Amino acid sequence: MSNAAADTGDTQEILGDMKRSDRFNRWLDRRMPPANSVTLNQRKIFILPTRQGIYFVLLVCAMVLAGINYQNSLVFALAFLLVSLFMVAMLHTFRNLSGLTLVAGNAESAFAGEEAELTVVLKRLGDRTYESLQVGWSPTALSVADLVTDSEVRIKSFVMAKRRGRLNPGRLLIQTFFPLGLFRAWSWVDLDMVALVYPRPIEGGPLPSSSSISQEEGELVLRDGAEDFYGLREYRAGDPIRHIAWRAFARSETLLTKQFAAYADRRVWLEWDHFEGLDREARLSRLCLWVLRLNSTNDEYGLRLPGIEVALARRSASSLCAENTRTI
Amino acid sequence: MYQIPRNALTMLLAAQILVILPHIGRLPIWLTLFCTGCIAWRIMVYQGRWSFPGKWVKTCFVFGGVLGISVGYGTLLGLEPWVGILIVAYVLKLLEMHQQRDAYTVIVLGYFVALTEFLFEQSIPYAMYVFFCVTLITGALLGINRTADNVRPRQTLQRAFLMLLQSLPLMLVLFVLFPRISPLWTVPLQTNVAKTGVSDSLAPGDIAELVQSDELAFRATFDGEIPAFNDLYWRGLVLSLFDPKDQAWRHQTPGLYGRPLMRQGPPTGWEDNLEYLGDPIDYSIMLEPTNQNWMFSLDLPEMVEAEGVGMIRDFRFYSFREIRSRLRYEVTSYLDFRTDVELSPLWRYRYTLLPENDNPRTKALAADMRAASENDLDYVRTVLRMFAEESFAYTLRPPTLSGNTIDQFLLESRRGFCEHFASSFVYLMRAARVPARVVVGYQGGEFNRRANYVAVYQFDAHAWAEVWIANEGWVRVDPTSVVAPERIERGLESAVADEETFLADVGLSFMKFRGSLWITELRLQISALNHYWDSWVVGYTPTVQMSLLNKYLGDVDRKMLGVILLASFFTIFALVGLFLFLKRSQHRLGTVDREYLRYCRYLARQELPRRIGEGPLDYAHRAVASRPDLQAEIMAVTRAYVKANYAEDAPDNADELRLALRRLQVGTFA
Repeated sequence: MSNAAADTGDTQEILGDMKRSDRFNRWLDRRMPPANSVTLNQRKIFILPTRQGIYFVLLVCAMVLAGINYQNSLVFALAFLLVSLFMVAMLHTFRNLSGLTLVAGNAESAFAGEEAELTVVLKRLGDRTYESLQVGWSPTALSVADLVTDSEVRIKSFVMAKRRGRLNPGRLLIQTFFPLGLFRAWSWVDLDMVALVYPRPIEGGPLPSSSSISQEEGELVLRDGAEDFYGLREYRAGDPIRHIAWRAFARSETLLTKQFAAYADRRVWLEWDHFEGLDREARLSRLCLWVLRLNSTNDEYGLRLPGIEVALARRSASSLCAENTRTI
Repeated sequence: MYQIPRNALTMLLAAQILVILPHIGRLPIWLTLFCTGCIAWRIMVYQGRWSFPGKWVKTCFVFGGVLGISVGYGTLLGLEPWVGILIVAYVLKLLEMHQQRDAYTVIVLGYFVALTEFLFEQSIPYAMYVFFCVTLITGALLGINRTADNVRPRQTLQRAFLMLLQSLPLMLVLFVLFPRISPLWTVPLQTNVAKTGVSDSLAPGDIAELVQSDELAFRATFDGEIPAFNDLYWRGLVLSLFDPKDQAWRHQTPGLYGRPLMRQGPPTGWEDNLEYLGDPIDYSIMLEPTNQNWMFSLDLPEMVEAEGVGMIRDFRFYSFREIRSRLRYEVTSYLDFRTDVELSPLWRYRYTLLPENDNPRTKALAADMRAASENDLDYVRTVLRMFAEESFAYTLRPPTLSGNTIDQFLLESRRGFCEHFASSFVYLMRAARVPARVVVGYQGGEFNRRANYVAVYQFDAHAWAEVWIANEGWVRVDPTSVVAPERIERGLESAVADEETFLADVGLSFMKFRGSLWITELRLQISALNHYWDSWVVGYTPTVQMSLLNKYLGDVDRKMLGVILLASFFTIFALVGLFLFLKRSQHRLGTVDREYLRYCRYLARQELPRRIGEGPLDYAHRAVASRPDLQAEIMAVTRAYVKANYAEDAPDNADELRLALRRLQVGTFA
């Protein structure tokens, strides 16, 4: 048994193609600590000219040279106008991020090897509009959004979940080139989002026969989708109309709901020790597949892991996996 | 494959067409067709009907374009060929737009092509046109940076225009303070430009032809009072050689060994020949390009402030280089003067020289009249009396003369323009051994009292004479003044008013409407506006900048100027920044939302924060689940909020909500 208690949870930092040095990361962490809601201001926004911006400046220098050599005052005027436009564009590009609020949205769970869907909400408080914002965790997969007519925009991003555990996607890149493409204003925002990553389900073969307790009669268990009529109970608001016992109503003038039940086919214990010789992740993956499979049937199942026993019951896979990942 | 948003492409193409349009007259015709072809091709590509040309086709276009330019202009060096090559590159790049950065290249080239227009024209209408093109190009630049469904052309243009307006203050700082330095290296200038204005040969009919134009010759701005109209003799050329072949007076620069003696002012050694009397007049002249070397000034100039200009021995100014662009120079003149009191024999010989076997009757007449006079001065008066009393007529439509034109004019036709009178007068003088020379220039001008300047037009061109009298030196004699004094007093229009020949060859000219008060007013206003534009914007040369800075900032050297420039630049930049960021993001939520937020904050303090995206009812139910004791109050607040926000007929009334919130807050404490 590996030292399961030592880790409180695996976290992953996705850096993608963005190679930020450790020092820069530490500086960023001091300046912009993780928070669920971040409003961008001058402390958080970086701005630099783009390559097009540099070419633009070179062009203007060429214009100034032309003005000097032709002694043409209007040539100077146009060159100076473009220089000023360059500076004003810097202000506009900066303004296109300043005051913008990013709020962490839902972080959907995913299986290892899949992409987790993370939602980020961009909000604007006030009159200022924001356009052509590029947001994402991977610089090759940025979503573009505008906050012109709406005051809120939800952006879904997909981040690859490589390993089981807790997925911290890291800092979110938000950048913009608006309005003239001469400057790039950007920021790295840590929204303190965590997504749960379940183990990747792997086919592990049949369960040993000791796991199922099929020789006893299965218990009768109430189940909404089942077919066999079980009994009546008082009507509660929200019960489906078609389950109301109308004939009983006609007789007694009280609303009653029919209840249905089915027989549990079997009880299955999923045990850690079933998969001898495999490492932790492998065992978890195979167990996970069985959980998913059993979840879609009428069976009761329970899970025995080192340190946890989850009792026999019918339950949704997600909550099971949640407990699973939290404690291992 | 990059897809440029449709509106951005439209703006780009429109800008391209407009930017190339003013150049069409200067480009070979095939280039105009080539541009049209490329633009049409690009539109086809956009609509999906054609594809981009392949590599071979493009190479052919490039070579063909360069070849065509060199054939069309005869050379690849020169301003027009370079502009042609730039335009070829500009339109060809349209056909190679595969990535976003190609679109940037086209846009940036557009700025450059717009710039080249200023190398040819600098008047106010052209400046506004170029500014409009720059707005379009900036709009295209804006368009490619917006998401495709956001690009609305009018709004994009508006935003581009606003950004340019916001750039104006910084631009003004740079325009005024950025050090203007002299050219670093020589560059090719415009070629094939015609010479305008008075020329260095005067044949009968030349001036009469010249005055059929209403083009501006130059403007003279006076520091003090403008002299009287009949004192405004703008001296430009002195013609001293008579050519019998076409009966024209030719220019011959006086100087030792055939080279003119040049100085900024009268050089040492000439002081004996000059005497300035009376008060000086300071003025500055802004001369329109003539592509000739003559400069104009009032008799007698003392000093000129200009670059590359010298004074010739007959006391006029001469520019070393042909005047290709508007030239501004400052002059000090004395209207009262005396020159060349002593005339050397060599010069006496030159200024009395006449060809043999030419105009014999004039020579005979001269001999007669001189014999009847006591001295040279008396002879001058006699000749003038002849002009005045005999039936000479001043007309813009003199009969054509041939052969011995002076004879014919003096003795037969007696109808001529100022060149006839001046020419024949000088001839008569020389025939009687009185040194004389023809002077060509302008006389009079239009006064613009608003800006204290005189505008001199081509129809003010004039020819007169100078005679040398012993002990007096050179004396100006204008025979026109005795034949048609109105010309000297009030100008050409009144002098030929009876004839109605003033500007007869010019179709529509504002000059013809000088009778109409409001048209004249309008014209003078526009003229004054152009004058200020030419003086301060187009004419903002290094000298002008220096004098302006010295006037307001005292003596500044380059370093100080740089510091002032940087300081002003960043100050204005900060101000613009402040302006842009002044509209800070305020919480402009309605009162209802604000009250609800207060409720959320209140509950958050009770350990019940609202989850992100949680609706008001869900929130209320969850809160009630935790705090059932507050159920009534929480539900009241929630109901009030929902009603205020979502019910159709509810007024935007936060009072109910506020009340419910207060009850909640009180209820918690109770």
